[in-house]
Amino acid sequence: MDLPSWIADAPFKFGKVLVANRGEIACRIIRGCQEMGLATVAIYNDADANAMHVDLADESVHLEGDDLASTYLSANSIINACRTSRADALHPGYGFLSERADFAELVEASGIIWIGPPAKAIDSMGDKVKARRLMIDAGVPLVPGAELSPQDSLPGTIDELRRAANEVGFPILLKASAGGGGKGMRAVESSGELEAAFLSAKREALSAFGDDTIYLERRIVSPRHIEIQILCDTHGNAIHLLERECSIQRRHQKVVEEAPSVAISKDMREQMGQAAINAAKAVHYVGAGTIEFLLSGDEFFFLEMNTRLQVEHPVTELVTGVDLVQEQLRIAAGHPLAISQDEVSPRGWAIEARIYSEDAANGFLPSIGPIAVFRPPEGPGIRLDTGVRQGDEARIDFDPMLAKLIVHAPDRQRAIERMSRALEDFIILGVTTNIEFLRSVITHEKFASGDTTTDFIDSIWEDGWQSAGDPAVAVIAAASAEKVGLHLGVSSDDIEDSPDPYNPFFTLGRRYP
Amino acid sequence: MKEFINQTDDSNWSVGVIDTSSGYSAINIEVDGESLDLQDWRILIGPSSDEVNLERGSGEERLVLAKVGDIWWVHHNGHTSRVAVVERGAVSTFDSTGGLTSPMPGKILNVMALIGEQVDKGQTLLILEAMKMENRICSPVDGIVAAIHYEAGDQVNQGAILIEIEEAE
Repeated sequence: MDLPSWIADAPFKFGKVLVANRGEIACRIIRGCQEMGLATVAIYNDADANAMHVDLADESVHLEGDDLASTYLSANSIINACRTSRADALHPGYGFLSERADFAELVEASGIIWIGPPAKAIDSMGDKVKARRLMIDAGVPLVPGAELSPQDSLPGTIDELRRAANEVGFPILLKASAGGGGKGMRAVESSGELEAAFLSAKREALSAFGDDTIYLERRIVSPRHIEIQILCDTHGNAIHLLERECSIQRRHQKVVEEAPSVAISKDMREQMGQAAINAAKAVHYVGAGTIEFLLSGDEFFFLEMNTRLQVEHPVTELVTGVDLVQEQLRIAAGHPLAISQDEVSPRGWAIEARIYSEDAANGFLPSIGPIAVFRPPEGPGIRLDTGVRQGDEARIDFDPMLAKLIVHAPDRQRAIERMSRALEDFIILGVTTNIEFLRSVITHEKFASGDTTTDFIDSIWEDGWQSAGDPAVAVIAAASAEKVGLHLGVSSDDIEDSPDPYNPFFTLGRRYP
Repeated sequence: MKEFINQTDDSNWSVGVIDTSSGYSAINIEVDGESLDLQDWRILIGPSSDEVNLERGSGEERLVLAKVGDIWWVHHNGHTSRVAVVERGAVSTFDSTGGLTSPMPGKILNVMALIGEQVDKGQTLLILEAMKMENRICSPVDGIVAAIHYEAGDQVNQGAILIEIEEAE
């Protein structure tokens, strides 16, 4: 197989990438590889046999098994899939095995190029407790917090928990050391709630990560969530690609992200960027990564480092013009970074909205169902990263994120207007989504004024959010559609063939050229 | 006669529809037993099998619909509503007196209410684990817990009645 010219003389050569993921991120990575002339391999379980990422890839390997542990989370099955498909590189995407150091090691030991950071860096940053200690040494500012020393009984553990809580002071955030995505995380306002929240966080952490180590942090009230994208090559170069603001969250999961941030001055950007680079250098990082900070007033604190590509990476791509997936591929091939820090500057404004299958009017409970209609918006400055198409199904087995809608415009105001219009045009029927809720967020005056903090959703919709649809319109339309049999495939085109010239549809059909 | 439940606000509609020379008109509309006059509205059927136009006053608005099972999904101006079709006389699962159903398949982690307990609207009644997340199932009304059908550790299907609340008068 002839390698594309960009990699033919690279230190580490590969020609075929196995993407160890599914959904929108697998599709996004497959496209990035294809544009650079690399062959792609998808993996899939039974439920995903007809999934979009399988269709997009040049070839695919089926993983046997009934659950995630024996399919998308099975390191051995995935290594075998590389062997059968002769893939010589592996991209883990985000989630699943992307931040498992032992998997990164296994991939490299199998002679496959790992498109990600070194196992040691993943390990240091993946253990949030270990990461905190490293950041203290690197001089990166940290939120006050405490670890729990191991106890041999439950009452002993609870005593230790109370001791640590008193040391940190309320309000407290309990966090899973192996955590991410809000799993195993609990906010605790007072000592009365402490024990129940701790046990619940432990349970969730154990089932999500197989590790129930919990630590405590002071909960910074009403902070902004600001993160810095970094890129490091194998030659010791490290740059940052500006900030993203991801303050709009529900249940500690991001919902709307933007770049740049209204809260970051040029000076602050330089400080945070330098802190991020210091953090990455402290773990000898290679590849794309993100350092997350909390911003309170003009003070910022290290939260954690994500040693992978992030869900919200497209907003950075749009404002910097850098394709992060393609940079990951170049770095994995051993090329030096194509751009220097001086060449990075923000161009316009980008906003991303995550389209979840969930019921915003009912506590954001995940919803499932067939995607009977999927009609995304189109037009200038609109990017859609989707893992589903019309006819697919939102299933319980996976994360409820269906797609990401990203807009780019010359300034924030116009990006908001573009996103609002795009969300209004985005039609998904058959499964409940958060599209209308996202529009409520984007069009809220507090969002327009840039008054965005992590308690935005909880404080604005304290008693829950409600759809503002007109119930009469929906019912009259449904009743008419039911009467005419619209669901049976009736349309004015069919009715035009009708022998009855006075049928009302005959004329109606002509109204829609 | 078919009835329609708008699941956004649980309103119960009875609608008679006739076809006129200018499209479909709704007549004899009752919402939760009250009559409503929307007779100057017309629904026009479009060229594709999932679009209709609503004509009211001077404006015309495009709607997109899809029927899944007994539910019509209706998209209108950025809002999506679900309208359930119910045959009159059939047992309705939507106007149940406070029966809280499971929104998805999952596992009950914790039941936080007792039979006979007085609960407030929004109070957490149980915790359901699904999609690797803990989801709080809250009371939709102020009332008394009349029945609890599951206990911690049970697997439940989507639509299973988990707990029944007798609404306070």
